[in-house]
Amino acid sequence: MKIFDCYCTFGRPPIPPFRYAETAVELIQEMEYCGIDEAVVYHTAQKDYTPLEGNRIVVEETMNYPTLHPAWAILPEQTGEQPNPGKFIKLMKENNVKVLYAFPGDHAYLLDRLGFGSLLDTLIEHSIPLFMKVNWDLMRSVLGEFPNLTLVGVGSGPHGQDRLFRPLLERYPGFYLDTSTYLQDGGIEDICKCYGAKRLLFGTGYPRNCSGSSLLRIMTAEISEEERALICHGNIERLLQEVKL
Amino acid sequence: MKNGSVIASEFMKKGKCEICPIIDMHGHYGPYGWIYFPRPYAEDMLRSMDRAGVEAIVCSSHEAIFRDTTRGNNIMKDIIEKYAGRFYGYWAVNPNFPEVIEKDLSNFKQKRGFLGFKFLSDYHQCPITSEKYKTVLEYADKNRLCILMHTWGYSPFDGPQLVRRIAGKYPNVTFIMGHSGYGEWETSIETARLFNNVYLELTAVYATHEGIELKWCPERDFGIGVNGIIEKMVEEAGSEKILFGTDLPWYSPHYAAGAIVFARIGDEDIHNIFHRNAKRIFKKCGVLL
Repeated sequence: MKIFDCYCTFGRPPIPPFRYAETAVELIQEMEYCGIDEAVVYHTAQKDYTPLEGNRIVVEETMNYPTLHPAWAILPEQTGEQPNPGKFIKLMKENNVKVLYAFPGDHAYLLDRLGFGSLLDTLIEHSIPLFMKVNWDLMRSVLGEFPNLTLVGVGSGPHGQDRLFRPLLERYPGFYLDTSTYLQDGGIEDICKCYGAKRLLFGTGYPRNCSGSSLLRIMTAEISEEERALICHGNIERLLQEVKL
Repeated sequence: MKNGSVIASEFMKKGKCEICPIIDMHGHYGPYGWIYFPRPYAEDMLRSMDRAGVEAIVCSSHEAIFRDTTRGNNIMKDIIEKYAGRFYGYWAVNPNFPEVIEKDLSNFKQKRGFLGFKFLSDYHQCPITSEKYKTVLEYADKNRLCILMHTWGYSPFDGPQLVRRIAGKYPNVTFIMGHSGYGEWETSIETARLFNNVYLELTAVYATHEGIELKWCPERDFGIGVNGIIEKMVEEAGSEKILFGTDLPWYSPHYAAGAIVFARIGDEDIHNIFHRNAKRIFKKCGVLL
């Protein structure tokens, strides 16, 4: 079974976990230890320092490793730090970037139509998925304003939050959830039964979490092999293939 | 996969390892209002346990720790009787109801399959050092029983500093630090290393907790990811002082096992964590597995 991790990070964090990957090579070593084949990655500099430098660094550090797919972080257009959506998409194409991350808490902005209307409409037009750390209130309002957005919630936290995210799964077909910290017993099986395996993406949350945890969880879930293949790699591959740059 | 562990390889192939069974030392039972459980009852829990090679689990019922202690403990007693050899128990104690404790202790020896007691001091808002726990601690010490305590980093009710204050005072009690004093790692590990009768238990250690779940922790510790903590525990406290737990029906046994079999530790350490240490505690408490 091919394993494609949709949610992991490398680079030196300001408060390091007990173990982490400082470089792309170290991340690949970690992936090989667990048997993970590919990954969508961002660099800690994008979140903890600034997207202005971090977006460049993640491309530079992954360019020689085709199994690592770089993601970029977004900022609002109004401050002029990030190019207008048209130019931004062009830069994404040049750098083979197909996934974007929003870090509204870390970068002090409101992710709404006022600040991001033009960019998020452009993402919808180009079928570009936007990833963000789970914040249910915010994700609910973003999807309310942009119901056709492909939005991936990552790192939902170890305590089951089904009552918070299931309404989103039910209402918005472009809403996805990663499995990195979806721990509760029987949860993956229940989601597959209620909403289909197409709504889950395999993620590890490395380096904050041990990659082996969510790996063993998905490999042993009581679901069909077809469902497992979708979660392990099929869904994220489809999302990447659907991107029009 | 370059992980050379034979146990990890078996888990990846079969979901369990026949030569390395698991005893889950921290479980619960039944529904709880704060969270949706797809599998809160015995038959479903057993299905998950069977798939992961979990031979037995030691539980306290949610009803006992969050509502009616007597009714909840009796539910657990019935489950232990019905599923003998698979379910064992901790008799839940709520220090805010001393009259119930007194009554429960008077006939505790008649309660088969209970290794000892469960403290949930953060939730009951009573420090483990309080006089209100004294009768239980003395009883457990006299009868060489076990106490599973919810412990959380920097908590004024059950932080690892408080565990130290009772561990030496009641040397015959086996103290299990549920969640290993999450977040206050150095002190928790040192406590397990210094006191022969203190164990680290891994529930909640498998994935990083954030925000409100770390209400007592200083800001610095909010950011610490848990990846690598099991290796640190093994190196500094020794795998002989670490126990497997899941809070089942909260956390998947496979998610928990994955953190251990993919940690950079030896297969002997995994054997200790998965079953050897637990068997030693069962024996000391006089409960047959």
